[in-house]
Formats: sequence, C-alpha cells, structure tokens
Amino acid sequence: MQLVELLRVLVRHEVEFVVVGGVAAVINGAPVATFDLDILHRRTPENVRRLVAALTELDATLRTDSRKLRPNESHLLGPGHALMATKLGVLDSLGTIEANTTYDDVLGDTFVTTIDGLPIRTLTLVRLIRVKEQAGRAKDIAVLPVLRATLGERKGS
Amino acid sequence: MGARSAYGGVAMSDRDDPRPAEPVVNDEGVDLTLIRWSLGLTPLERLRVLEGHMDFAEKVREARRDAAR
Repeated sequence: MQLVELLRVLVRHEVEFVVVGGVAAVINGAPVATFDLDILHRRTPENVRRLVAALTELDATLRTDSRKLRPNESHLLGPGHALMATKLGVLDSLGTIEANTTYDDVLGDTFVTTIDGLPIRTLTLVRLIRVKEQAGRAKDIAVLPVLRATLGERKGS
Repeated sequence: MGARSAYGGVAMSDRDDPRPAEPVVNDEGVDLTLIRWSLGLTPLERLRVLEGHMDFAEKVREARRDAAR
C-alpha cells in the first residue's frame, strides 16, 4: 500500500477531499492499524470529474463489482460509497459520512497539514470520535478507547 | 507501586527510577506509551509506519495463500 503516493495523485488532480477513517486517526497521532484510505469527496460535477481522472490514473476498479467496473461520474455524484482497488492500494471514496454529512458540512471540523509537501485536509480527532460513536459498528467501537486516549494525551501535552 | 504495562507487568522505568512516572496504561488498558511515541512522529512518519504495517499484513496474507495451495 502506497498511501502517500495515492494521496499525491489525488492532490495532483486537484481533487477536493477530506481524509476520514483510520488514516485520519493515524494522521491525528492515534496508533491504530487500517488497510484502506477513506476519503470524503466533494460532490460537485467539477470535482467529481477531477476525481474520476485521478482514479483513471490509479487504474481504480470497484471492489463491489465482480466485472471490475471502473468508477465513473455517476458512481461518485451520489451520497454512496465507492469501494475501490487501485494500483497503489485500497481506496474508499465516500459521498457522505454519518447519516448524510457531506464534504461541505464537515469542513469546519477539518484541518490541513502538509505531508511530504502535499496539503492534506483531514478530519479532526474530536469529529472522528463522534463519527465512530455514531457509526456504532463493532470495528468503530473497538478503536474508540485509543482515539479518546490520544485526544487526552494531546490535551495533556 | 509502579505503573503497570498493558500486560500487567511493572514498567521497567519504574524499577530503575524512583521518581513518579507518567501512567503507562489508562483505565481501559490503552498503552499510553505507544500514543506518546506516535504523537512524537510527524504525520508523514506516522503514515510510513502505517504503510509498513499494511505491507507486512499483505505479506502474511500472501504466505497463507501460498501455504494453502
């Protein structure tokens, strides 16, 4: 998995996205493991066009389709999740998180950090904890003690 | 009494140094030393560590696939 290179392709194509999920937890300093990159993309036609161009460069295919369909604009304009395999690793591009929260809704709970020269917008740890609490799935609940402890250590430092 | 590690043992720093140490684990059993270590890394270094874990897990998966053949 080449996470940084995957992010580099998205940034080079000027895709507007927020890193969410486990990779956001890691960027925030939480020592957790994950096996995919989850992003929340902005669902404007222009941004989805840029995202499709990036996904084409990444040779992305939908993991949910046995025919290995390539993601297109119609897959990414809606609120659903495009679960993909790419030549640099597993990438999930989400139209919404939580019940129906969009890129624009969540912007106030993000920060931009420079990673290897790339400006990467990431969900804050406080919001990520809220997302995991609301998701309520076993895998989300399991990681909550580490996320809360990371927040506590950051406040204490 | 010294701080306990995630596995219940006394942390080495407590045996070697009588000064009160920061807690090693919290009430939920989370290893706080690991968190402090991670917070000491840059975001890029954190992602490189994660990439290493992902690559290791993939190698284990491949080895299990090969062994099953």
